[in-house]
Amino acid sequence: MMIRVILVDDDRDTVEVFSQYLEMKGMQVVGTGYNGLEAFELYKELRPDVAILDMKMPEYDGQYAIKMIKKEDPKARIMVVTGYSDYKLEDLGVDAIFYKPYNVDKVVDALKKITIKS
Amino acid sequence: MSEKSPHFFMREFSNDELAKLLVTKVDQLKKEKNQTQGLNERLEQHLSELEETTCKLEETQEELQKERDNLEAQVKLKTKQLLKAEKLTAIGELSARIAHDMRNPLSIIKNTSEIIKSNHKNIDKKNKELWLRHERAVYRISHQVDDVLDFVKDNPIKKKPTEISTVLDDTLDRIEIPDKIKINLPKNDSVIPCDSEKLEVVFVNLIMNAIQAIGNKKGEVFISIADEPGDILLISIKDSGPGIPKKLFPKIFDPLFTTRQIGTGLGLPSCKNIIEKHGGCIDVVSHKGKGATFLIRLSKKTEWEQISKIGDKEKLTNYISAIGK
Repeated sequence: MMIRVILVDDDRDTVEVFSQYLEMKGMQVVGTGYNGLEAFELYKELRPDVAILDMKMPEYDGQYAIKMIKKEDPKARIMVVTGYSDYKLEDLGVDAIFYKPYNVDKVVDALKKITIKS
Repeated sequence: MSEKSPHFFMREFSNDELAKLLVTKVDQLKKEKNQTQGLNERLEQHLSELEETTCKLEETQEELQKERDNLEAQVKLKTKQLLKAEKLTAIGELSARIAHDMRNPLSIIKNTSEIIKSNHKNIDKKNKELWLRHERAVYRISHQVDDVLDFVKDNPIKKKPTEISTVLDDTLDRIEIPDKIKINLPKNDSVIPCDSEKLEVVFVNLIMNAIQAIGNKKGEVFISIADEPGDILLISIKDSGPGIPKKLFPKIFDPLFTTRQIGTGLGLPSCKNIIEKHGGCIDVVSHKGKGATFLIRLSKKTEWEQISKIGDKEKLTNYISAIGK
């Protein structure tokens, strides 16, 4: 069974290329968004296995998305893929953290590991 | 005989009386002379005391002036340092922002090249080589970006008792050592509390600098460790290169100062930053033509021992720096 993910990042090229790459590696990208609010709405609507989020996004950022998604579904699986940020990532209680530029195979491995837990 | 003489109003004194009068007068004069002498002496004493006091006042005034000049100079120096620090902070923040913004495009370059590569499984040798160059270039930018962000981000260090030999071995695993250069490792070992990852960064930087200093010639790098009083460990890294001119000594630990074309110049400042976070200090000794030696001094005591014995970490750092001078 394919792993269903949503991918949210404020950079459209990143979303496009990352989606393509993930699908190449066998993931199913069921939704894409460009800020934290869209991330939350996509999660509510599609209930993916993992939400892949960037942190620095305009208006509603990753922190907002994580808070809202976890409120809605405490068991939500979240992976953060970001450039360096000032956010205290370890304290956010997410399942995986990757820094750009990431190694896509490692990201895919992590996605598989996270979903096995559930 | 009391004949009527012209001096009849003058009493005739007898010789005895005269003599007595004279003696009394002389005594009186002597007394007055002594008194005057006494007064003179006291006056002279007062005068010399006054002179002394005036001298002391002059000295004190000179000292005060010196102190004031000294303080003025210090204020000027501190102001200069503050301005420089502020500038560096501003540059640091700017660099961090730029580096951060580079990460997205870097990811895209990396990913698109991977996708294109996998869409064209049968590429010829020449193109394969080009892809490798492409990947290495992305890798290089990535690491430069990491260097800048690491430098600016100010990560706290986590100390654990570690063997120096282990850190050195890990360091050498990471570096490519040219055949013409021999690395001499220390014959002894020591365990000190340190952040082994961060210390590795320091060693990598220093040894790579040493290798670059030697260049394309035959040369050696000598690494040694020794104990110093006060539970201090001295780690020396010496190269057989051309040495560093003394006038550059204060600059080499400045961020962004480099005499080379490659590199951002963040190596030595990062090393200094890491060593000082450990509570230690780093110095350089060099003579023209005789290579350069970098001296790292770290405390062998754990933080608990340091605090309970000396007072606080700042005091220890000052103490170590003082010994190092």
